[in-house]
Amino acid sequence: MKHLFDLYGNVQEDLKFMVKSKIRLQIMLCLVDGPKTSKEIKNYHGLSFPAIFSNMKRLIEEDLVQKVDGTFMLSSFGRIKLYSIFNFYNAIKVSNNFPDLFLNHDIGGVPDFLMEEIGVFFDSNMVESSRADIYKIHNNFKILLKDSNEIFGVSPISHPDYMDIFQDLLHNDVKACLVLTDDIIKKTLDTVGFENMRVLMENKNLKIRRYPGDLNIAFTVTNNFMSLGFFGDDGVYDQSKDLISKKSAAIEWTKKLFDYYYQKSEEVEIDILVQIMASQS
Amino acid sequence: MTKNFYCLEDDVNDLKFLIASKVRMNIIISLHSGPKKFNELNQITGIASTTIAHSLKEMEMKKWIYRKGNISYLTPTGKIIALNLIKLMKKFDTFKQQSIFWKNHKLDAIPENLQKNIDNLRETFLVEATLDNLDKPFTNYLNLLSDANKMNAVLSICFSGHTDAIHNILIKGCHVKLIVAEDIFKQFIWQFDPSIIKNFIEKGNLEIWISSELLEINCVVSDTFICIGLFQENGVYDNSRLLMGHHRDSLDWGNELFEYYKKNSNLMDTKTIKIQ
Repeated sequence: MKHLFDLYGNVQEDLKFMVKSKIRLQIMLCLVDGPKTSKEIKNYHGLSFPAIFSNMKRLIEEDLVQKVDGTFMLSSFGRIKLYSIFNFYNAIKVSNNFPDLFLNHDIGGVPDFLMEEIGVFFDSNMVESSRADIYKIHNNFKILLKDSNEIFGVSPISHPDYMDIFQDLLHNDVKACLVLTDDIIKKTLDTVGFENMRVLMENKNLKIRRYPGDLNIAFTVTNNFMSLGFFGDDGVYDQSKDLISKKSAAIEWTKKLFDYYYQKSEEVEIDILVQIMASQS
Repeated sequence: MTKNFYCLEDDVNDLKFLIASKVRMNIIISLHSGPKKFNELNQITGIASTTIAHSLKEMEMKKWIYRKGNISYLTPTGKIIALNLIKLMKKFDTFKQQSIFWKNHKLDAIPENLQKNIDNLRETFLVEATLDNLDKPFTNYLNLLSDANKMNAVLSICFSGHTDAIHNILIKGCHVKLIVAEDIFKQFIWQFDPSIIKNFIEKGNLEIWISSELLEINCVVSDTFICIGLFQENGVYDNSRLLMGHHRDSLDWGNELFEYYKKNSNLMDTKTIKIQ
């Protein structure tokens, strides 16, 4: 922990410089789109010239802004620092926007390197079931799934409806790769039947991967949306809240999450499927 | 990214609340390593008890922290904030450690996704030209390159000393993959014997990818080191400073940069080389 205190000690003045003065922040943000004259900056924010000049002097001293031909422009150094602050701001925003998704939930299924990129969800939506529509998440998910042509999923949960949808999709040449626990593989075999599974897997439309141990997260990512749900602190999957996004950054994030689980799982060939089926009887 | 940018100026309070307060920062950092009793927080941070109690209460109201009896914990939201805060600190530390390198240089050639993970270069070191050895960065780089078994490089410049070094490692059996713009490729071919290039490509030791876009970064990644060179903001390549490192995270970062540029490049085949 000492190294983190030392780290903070080393950067605290630089960090404070970026956020402590609203005027400096306003000037930098106004330069994101391109160079501006002091008059344009004044008109943009209604700042006084003395306020602009005194703060601009500090920004130039710190190499965050450059003066070129009478205009002020954000330096590459200023831009990368501002973007770093902005990424952190987005992470706080996501945490604040979806408190019910994270609080009292087990978020341990998301590895740290992806938690550090959680800001990509700043413009995502949380779908929540209500008394008037307790199947809202479920129905929303089914609609989105039907429009997909490539599906990746990690799931420790199952629903009979999904089996039907998946069978239809797979028969229509949709490709799916699912990382499942043994329990869910068995459940799927029960519902779909071994022969159906074998045909789907042999057609290469369906790839099943076996996750060793328990999963504490459920998510799906397709070519056009992502959906993510957590377990509550009580160990029960929370069916009432789902983070949904159709934004490319959110989809990419979830694909990385899938890759993470993919690496930890093993492909289930037909002979393994037979073993799993035999183990249930 | 800019779409959401302007919210930042109206909504900067949470950032200030945390970043501008040494007490709150120290508490979050302490709890990141695990739950703490009140007196532990007091001992670790060296901050007065009343100040800690006040800050804990503030962060409890924000639901970043919760308390059970005498013990304070980060909530899941608090954990997310702590992780992202540490990431931010590491990025700023990277900027600070090699500030001469990052300042006054063009950084647009680093894609957004890799700018976000610039802290992966935190363990790198800067090699600068000195008055008595103007060639120091390049010499150090060549020493490292001579032992490479693998070389993935995004090259925005070309000169005979470097071309010779690449030739030498190819002879030693090194696997080399280069991404260059069309004009640099022409110069490369001119410095190299085209029939030798063709031979290395056919043997599978050399791949040359032609980038459709202007490259404004030099990045060489081997199995053991990374070396990065940048252009100054005025468009001139800065050959007096190279960032180097051996850490796995830095090498991964460099390989990701290589893959990024490879996506926008076309693999050169031996037939095309004949035509050149």
